[in-house]
Amino acid sequence: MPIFSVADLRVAFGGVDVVHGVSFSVESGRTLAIVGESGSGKSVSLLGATGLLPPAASVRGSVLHKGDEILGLSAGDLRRRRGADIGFVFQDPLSNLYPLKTIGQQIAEAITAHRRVGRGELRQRVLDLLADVGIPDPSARVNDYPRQFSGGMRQRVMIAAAIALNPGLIIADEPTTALDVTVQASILDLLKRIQQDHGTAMIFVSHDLAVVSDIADDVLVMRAGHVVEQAPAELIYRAPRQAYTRELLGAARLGGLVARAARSSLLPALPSMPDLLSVSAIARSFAGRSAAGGLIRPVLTNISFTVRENEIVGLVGESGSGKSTIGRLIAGLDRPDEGSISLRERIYSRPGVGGIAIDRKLRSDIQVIFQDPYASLNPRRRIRSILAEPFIIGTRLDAAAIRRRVQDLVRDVELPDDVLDRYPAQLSGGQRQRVAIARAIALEPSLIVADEPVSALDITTQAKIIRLLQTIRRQRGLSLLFISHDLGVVSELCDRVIVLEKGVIVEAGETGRVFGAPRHPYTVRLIDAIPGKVLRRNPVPERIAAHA
Amino acid sequence: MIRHTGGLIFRALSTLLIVLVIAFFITRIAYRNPAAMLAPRNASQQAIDAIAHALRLNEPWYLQLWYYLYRGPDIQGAPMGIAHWPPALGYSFRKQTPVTDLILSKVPVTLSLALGAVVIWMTLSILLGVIAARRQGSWLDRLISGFAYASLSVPTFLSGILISYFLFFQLSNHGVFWFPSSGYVPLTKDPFEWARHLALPWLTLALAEIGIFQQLIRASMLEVLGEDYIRTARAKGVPEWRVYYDHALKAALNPVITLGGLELAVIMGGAIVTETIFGLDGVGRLAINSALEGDFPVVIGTTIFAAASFVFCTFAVDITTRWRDPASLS
Repeated sequence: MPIFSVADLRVAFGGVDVVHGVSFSVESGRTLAIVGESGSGKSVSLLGATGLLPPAASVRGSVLHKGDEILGLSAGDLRRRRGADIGFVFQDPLSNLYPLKTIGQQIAEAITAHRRVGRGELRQRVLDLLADVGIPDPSARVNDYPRQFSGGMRQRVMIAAAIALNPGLIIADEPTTALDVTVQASILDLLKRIQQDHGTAMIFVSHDLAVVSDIADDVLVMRAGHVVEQAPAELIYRAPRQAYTRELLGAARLGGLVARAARSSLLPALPSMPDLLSVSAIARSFAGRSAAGGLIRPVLTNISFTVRENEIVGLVGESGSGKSTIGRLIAGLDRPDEGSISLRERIYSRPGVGGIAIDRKLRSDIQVIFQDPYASLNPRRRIRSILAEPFIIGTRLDAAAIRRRVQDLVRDVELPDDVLDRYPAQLSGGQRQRVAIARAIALEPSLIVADEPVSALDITTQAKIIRLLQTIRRQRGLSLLFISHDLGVVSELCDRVIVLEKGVIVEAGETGRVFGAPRHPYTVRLIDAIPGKVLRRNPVPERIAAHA
Repeated sequence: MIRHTGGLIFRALSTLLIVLVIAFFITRIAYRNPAAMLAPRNASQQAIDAIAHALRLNEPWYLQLWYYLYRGPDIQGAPMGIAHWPPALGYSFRKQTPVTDLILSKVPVTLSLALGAVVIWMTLSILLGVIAARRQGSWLDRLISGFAYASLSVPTFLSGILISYFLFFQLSNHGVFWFPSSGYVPLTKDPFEWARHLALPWLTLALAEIGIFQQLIRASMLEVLGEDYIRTARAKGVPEWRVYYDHALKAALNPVITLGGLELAVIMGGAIVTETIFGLDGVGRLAINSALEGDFPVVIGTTIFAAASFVFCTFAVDITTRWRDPASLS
């Protein structure tokens, strides 16, 4: 008998249906993956079924937990099931952990909310849980606050709180999406291990079929509040029936990196192309965390590389490796402590005081695209005025000419004209990132620094933005420094790759070579951690890969 | 931390010094002829000149400032100035007492008034704010908000008189003597009488502040309730009252603490209207009386006292915020 089953679940906000009759069930010891893009209703379904949506949402249908109908239960009765019988792990462990309480208190809370436990026993239980989820030296860390942990460690803390009372069901909502690829792999392993140890049922929500491929027994594909396809994982990956599932599979890059890297080099930058950007022996360090000690924490040491004209260079590494710092230095938003950076053999950045280092002409020649299209566009300005700004600052065009240029820009990034009169909040994530790209190319720069430009986007949207970047590179002949932690994206887009570990370049070369025959153990580790191990070992039939 | 505290203390002292100098000049401009104000009504010009000379009021301003800072006026041969140890604030011309003693004698009244009022308005605001946030949009929320806006828009001189009329005068008329109309009984002498005498002024001050604080807590709570970590708490099965009071309220308190510190400082500097209506002999009344009498050392003294309360309260807010959330250190 399934431990948790949902039948004909409908969720509406203010009379507008967002989930139109979804049914699924999960049994003990099995994992159901719910996959879909943002807005597909996957999270809303689960939150609605467990009473975690705000009261404004109306939820209808039937939700059976251990055979009892829980939809329509009183808030108190639902609360007694949440945490005790159903554990939750959410996406962003920083915003989901309480900043004013120690992690020990937060895990203990998951226990004391349901049971009366003596102090000593509670502490012991918390320490056991921390050890169980792989936090080294639990007794030293139990009184630390969430901000003192890395992203992966925070997610382990969330998992510890979720499994505190050995719930029969764990609901994990995009638990690895905000994490580095190696960390993602270790969290997936942890969830899998916990599930096997305790025979727990798990519902795993993700936008990425690759992520769930190592963990799912059954897969439910959702789109716009409907179930598209529901089948055992084997069938979903080997013989998907729906076109949309195939599209998701294609975007998931299950065909392996090397093949894609080879295919992506449609337009290899010729070796004869001259160098555009040259970074020579730069170093940067910041004051350490302990302000009293005045420790200096080196972030970059002896970084040298070049970017040729019309070339896309990928800069990969985990968070904290210093890749964003390189981006900031090249964009002239910061100065190096040592070394220099030059564009077309003219040095524009070298050690010195002051933050904004480069002159205005260079500013329009080197543009930046940031990761978060939600935060990097002014929410109070219309797209038209956001896109007009570079022309107002960087050119002497009159209003009519700027209007025309803005319209051209919008077409260049394949957006409809009517976005011009909207505000950023009225656009989807992908559309916003297109606006950010349009702004970056407005003044026809020779170099764009793109710092994780697709990491915040759905996997299908990622694929579209990557195609757009390829087109723009071809049409405008510009160069791109593409900073990402996602090797899949890099393999698809970049001509050359630079691998960064803790502020040092450990490997660099042609994309096909680096992913096909990595030389440095760190690169090997990164590639190994890419989800989809099981499928890579038993390659997907050509039929599916062909859609990729 | 030590460097930070050192910097804070330095900033506090320089703030006080600047306030002192400004207050000094304002009194110099405001009181053209202080000697005449101090003299008996029909004193001769000679007597006035004698007063001016004794108090060195006819010397250039920089010498006067120097005397004020370093020596204080030489009355009864007791040099006193801010630069002396223990620092003193000069000598009251009118009362013939050191200003420091004068202010210190009023502090217990003002402190009792201020702290009692803070406890009352914070407790009520938190209660009403959380209830309103929890039942956002309901009739209860609207009722509380209506009360908040009403209390916000009634000035203390009106609410104080109304409270005094109903809770003292009308009650007394009906033979119920719960609250006295005025006076102060030290806490150390009789805690019950202390509270009984202060109840009406506390109520008056609290009523003026509840409006602002209830709305602030409500708004801050609503913002925090949308955070992911609140959902996490619910997902863990934490009971609703704990979600509200232990999680949301705790996280929502930062702006409340900041504004609360400032309001407390304002009242410490002198709740003039409330002190006057309820006949409380506090710092506020001392300030207003000495200002009317031209007793400018007291005016400067009370100004500095008010500034010092501000500095102290800001410091306390800073420490509390840091202690609550060590992340703000970096």
